[in-house]
Amino acid sequence: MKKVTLTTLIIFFIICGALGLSLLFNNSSSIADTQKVKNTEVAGDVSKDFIIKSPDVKNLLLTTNTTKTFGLTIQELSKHSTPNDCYLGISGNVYDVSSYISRHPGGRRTITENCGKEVTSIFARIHSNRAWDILKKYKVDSLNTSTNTNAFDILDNLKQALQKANPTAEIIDVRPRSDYFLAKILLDNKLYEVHINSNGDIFNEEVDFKEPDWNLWQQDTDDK
Amino acid sequence: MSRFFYNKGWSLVIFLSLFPIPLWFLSNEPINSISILPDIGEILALVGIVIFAINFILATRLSVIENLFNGLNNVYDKHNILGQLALILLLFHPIFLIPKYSPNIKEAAQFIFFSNVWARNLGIFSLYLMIILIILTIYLRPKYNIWKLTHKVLGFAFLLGAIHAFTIPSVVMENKLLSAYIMLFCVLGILSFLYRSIFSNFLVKTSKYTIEKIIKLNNSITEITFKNVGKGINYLPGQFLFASFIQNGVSKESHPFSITSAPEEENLKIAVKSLGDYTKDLNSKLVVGSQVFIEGPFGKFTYSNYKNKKQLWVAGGIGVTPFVSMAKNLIKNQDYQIVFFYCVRNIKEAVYKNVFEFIQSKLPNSFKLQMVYSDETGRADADQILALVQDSADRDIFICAPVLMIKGLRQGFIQKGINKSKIHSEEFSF
Repeated sequence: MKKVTLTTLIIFFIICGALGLSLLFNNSSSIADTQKVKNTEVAGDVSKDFIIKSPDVKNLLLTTNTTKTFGLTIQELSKHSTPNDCYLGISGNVYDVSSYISRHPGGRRTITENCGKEVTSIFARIHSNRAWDILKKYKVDSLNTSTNTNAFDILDNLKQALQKANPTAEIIDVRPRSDYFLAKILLDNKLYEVHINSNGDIFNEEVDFKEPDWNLWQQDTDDK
Repeated sequence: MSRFFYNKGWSLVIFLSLFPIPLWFLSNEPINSISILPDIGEILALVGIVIFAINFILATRLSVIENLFNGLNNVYDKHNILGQLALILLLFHPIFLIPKYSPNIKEAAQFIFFSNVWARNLGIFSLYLMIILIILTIYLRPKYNIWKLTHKVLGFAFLLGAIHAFTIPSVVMENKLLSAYIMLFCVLGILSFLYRSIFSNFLVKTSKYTIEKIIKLNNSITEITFKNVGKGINYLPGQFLFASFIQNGVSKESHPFSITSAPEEENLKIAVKSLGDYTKDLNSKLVVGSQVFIEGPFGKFTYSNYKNKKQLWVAGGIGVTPFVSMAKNLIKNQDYQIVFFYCVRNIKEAVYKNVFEFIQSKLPNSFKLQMVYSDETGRADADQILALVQDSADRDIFICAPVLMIKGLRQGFIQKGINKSKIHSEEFSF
């Protein structure tokens, strides 16, 4: 028994040492495993065989404001800020987690302190895919983050159009870039990052096969 | 019979420690190829924490536990194995979680080194504490004081580990049955620890005695006679006790000693052999009149627990002590037929020879003494003993001796065709 224990201890310390050493020598390899499947750098070079379907934006006109309103606004969200009536805004959706607070493995306080707030960054930093699955059950509405400026409405509209074109995917976020839009999409347990031009065509798609790590993903150098 | 009881405790431990596994499967999606390693890591932690808790429960020395394992020495034997097993399982727990974050070495390292997630840090700190303490325990065994201290701190490590289990975000712990099961063991483990290590002075029942007589039997062996102040303990011949001596210059920690008196004697007696610092202190510093707190009795090494009245007893060195008590008790149980091999190096070491000779003269039909001096005739082995006892196949065999001698004799007897279940032994390995 002593020998088994000793062997295990040695294995443990070897792994500790290996990890420690790789930490020292490998500080910048955090995105090493992201696999680039298709990458056509020139905007406008449209390819049809991306997995994510291009959104249909004919009726939306990405450059004009549409006045259609949907979902709860940030102001409305903030009214549900008590543990008994606790809404959380996470990646464009609103969740009523009041009944879940007592079961939260990370403790009551982490939720109750954030009731009525938009907490995507906090939530995504900590939680696994399983947690996202659990969260789905508590969805009550979508979150309207528009502040009456055109840009936000465009993003929301593009997001909806993307969702329509890819009904089984989860559209996590759409952000504007200098001359295109960047969308982050979860489909079949894979993370996609697609670049969309102003015609609504996807011209670049990256996929990460590994279980998505949200921290890692947000540091993707391509986003800057 | 003894095997059955022995297995009862051990099977119960195995059942209880594996029980979280079916619960885990009830509360989780089936294992898939992506999550297999983290899932194993989770299961290892659950089983590990239950075994860790069980180990504290075993160490309470409660009679229920002793009965399940057929003797306290068996309990401590399993306690020793389980402690190391829990450490092994818990060591692999963070290692199996690493692949979850394998693309990112920084994230992966957070499972072994500290980070800003305090719930995880608790677990890591608890694990490091456990590593240090168990290494100290295994490799510094003879230092009884250090051993006691490390066990106290282990309770603290367990507490941290338990807090970690319930504060770390984990989906499985949402299963009420599983988390209740783990909680039950955490609470039992901590209560057991508090009972045995922290509040033992108030909670553990002890009997008060004073030292009445101290007799030096030879250079290294002393017999101490106690006089009971209160009610005293009720014991069977062959049992042992834990004694804590209240005297300047002697550690107050309680230590195990064999009883050498028979239950029908007026006074309780033990024999102490100078082996370590503590027993040397006892032999040189104890004085008549000092107070002693005695906990016990413990042990199932009693000849009258077995129906077979034809028995073969083998003692090696200081292992003679339980036989002193049992031989004296034979005067009340004259229907037994005992052949007793008293194995020592030389006549100087045979401190109880006169007691056995006296009993042999009183009970010539039921007690036969056979001295073996290893300086003259070499170490006693199974062949040598069996050659001198014709009807050995009919007899139950009792051995109390140093660990290696027990091992050798046991193997020898089994090779000669003696049924395992008829060999009973006791060693002091804790």
